[in-house]
Amino acid sequence: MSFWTKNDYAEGTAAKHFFFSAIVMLVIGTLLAIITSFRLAWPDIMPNDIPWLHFGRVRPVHVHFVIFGWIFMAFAGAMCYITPALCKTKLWSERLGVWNCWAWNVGMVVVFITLINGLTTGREYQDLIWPVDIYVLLFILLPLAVNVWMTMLNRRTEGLYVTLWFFGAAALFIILTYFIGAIPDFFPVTGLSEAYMTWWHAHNVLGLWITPVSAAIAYYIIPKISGNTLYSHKIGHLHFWSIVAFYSTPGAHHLMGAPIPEWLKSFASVSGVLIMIPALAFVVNMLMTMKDKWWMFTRNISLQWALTGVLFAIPLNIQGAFQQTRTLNWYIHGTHWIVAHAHLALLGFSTFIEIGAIYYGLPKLLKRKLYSTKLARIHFWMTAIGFLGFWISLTGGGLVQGAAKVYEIPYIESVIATHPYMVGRAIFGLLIIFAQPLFLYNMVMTARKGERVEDDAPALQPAPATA
Amino acid sequence: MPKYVVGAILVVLVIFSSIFVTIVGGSTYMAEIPQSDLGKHHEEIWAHTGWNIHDPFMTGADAPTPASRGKTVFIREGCWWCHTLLPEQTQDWTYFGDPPEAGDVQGESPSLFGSDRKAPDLLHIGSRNRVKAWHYVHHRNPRAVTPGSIMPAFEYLSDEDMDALVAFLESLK
Repeated sequence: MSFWTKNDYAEGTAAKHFFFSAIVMLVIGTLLAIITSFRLAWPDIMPNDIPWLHFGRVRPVHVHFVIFGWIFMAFAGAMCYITPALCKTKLWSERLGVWNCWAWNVGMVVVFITLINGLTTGREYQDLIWPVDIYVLLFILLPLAVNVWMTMLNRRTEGLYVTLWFFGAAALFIILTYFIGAIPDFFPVTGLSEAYMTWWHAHNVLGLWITPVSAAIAYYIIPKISGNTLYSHKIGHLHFWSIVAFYSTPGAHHLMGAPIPEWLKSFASVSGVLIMIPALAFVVNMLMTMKDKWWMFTRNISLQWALTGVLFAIPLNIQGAFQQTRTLNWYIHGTHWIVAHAHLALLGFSTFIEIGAIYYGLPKLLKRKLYSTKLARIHFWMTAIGFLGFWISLTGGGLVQGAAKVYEIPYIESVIATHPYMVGRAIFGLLIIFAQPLFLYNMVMTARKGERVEDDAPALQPAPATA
Repeated sequence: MPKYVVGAILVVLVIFSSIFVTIVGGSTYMAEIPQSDLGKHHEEIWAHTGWNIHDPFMTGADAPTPASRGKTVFIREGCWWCHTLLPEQTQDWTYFGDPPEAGDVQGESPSLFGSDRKAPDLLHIGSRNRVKAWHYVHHRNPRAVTPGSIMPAFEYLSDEDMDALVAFLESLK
């Protein structure tokens, strides 16, 4: 134990490691999207004799770098920064955090090499082969959870703030979800059972990890920066318990067209609609917390990012709740609409909140001021405009594909009809892709040349209200 | 014991039992579905006789049939990111053929239903297009036979891989 808790590293080292790694992953992950998006718009734009430049090889690598690289590591950084702050203590083990971060980066290299060479399970979001699954569970997810839980157990506060409920629970959920999702990689689970577990996992990575942890980060930074207390802890309770109850079971709604049992589809569909409850609870809680402080929305760059993420949660959850019902699902399933929805969740909602958290937390950890607010604003508007154009293009393309299902035209006609939308997506996507290196540059310059903040105290302060 | 503790325990029990029912209940129910003849036919070609996810380092060269080797190529090259193997309960039925029945995919791993369709469904491609030469030309240069296609031109695939892939497509009746 003392090996782990012995203080060799300065406070905040693990969080800094995670935040910088996450930003690098974001840059790499979005750059990979140039290949995928351009290939769908102009298929012969790159050399065809190099397998590593083909859509089928690059798509999973892009997905893993932005989700397992960027979003997960930004979460880990936020956990290593916010958990001690809210517990009024140190991170249980900076050493474990730093090692965890390096293990994570090594893992990403392994992910890159295996997936780009076509070593995959062929199961969406569980694409990693079983040896890598074991690595992810033992050296990536478990150490993070241990660090968060031990910090919470060693807290000097009595109660736990909303953010900590989500951190503690989500760290457990992601291990369970990942393990259950990987079962077909280890044991002979085949056919519909395999398909069901694949989608149960795919949905719950979002439902029990990405959504709650993004929300937890917003629960911390929005009251913290605005200086208001959280609008309602009761609504926070409602959010927490309804997310656990309704967001853990709707995996089968990804298989509405498959021959799984009808009762399972109905069950999934109903709990899918009930996701509106945690979603609305969260959005209302955050927007009401901003009461009388809305002027800060345009002045404070972190709040601008985080609140835009919260606002994206509104269309996201309306789509999410209703697109998986039988009434709508048959029309839009498997079209670009779904790809647009996935990007709204991961790029619109989740990423915006995390970038807000990093613009707030990383300068504090570095004890410096942000190098350039102007650059951060350019980053914001490039990403926001790029994303909106991207989302509208893909949604439109999805509706064209849906219409093509109804009119029974030859499939190739729908491919030709969606070409302009693919071009729109690629061009607007470039705005997002070119914006992220600015983010990395800004943060590296903050670490090197940002104006020093003499007062050390603000780095580790609890949120205004701890219940 | 305070009332809220009892309440909390009840809530946790309800939540975890519903998760249990959907995972374990759903899976065991599906595992017991009898296979249709079509399913048995598929299992001969794919399933455990061919590539499976428990042996990720298998290249497919050892696979007993060309079709099962072709499935390896189909997964390795990421064909399934665009081509679904799931005609859905929509107009798909008339265009792409019958959707699979409950037992049809038994023994398959991965099931490869796909989620993001940007290309024709292939579950019945073997019946829909029987021209072998078309498949060969199409994979090397898709736009030569289908103008407007956005399929990648697989110029780098070896002849063995191509034979296996076409055999796999032909097996999808």
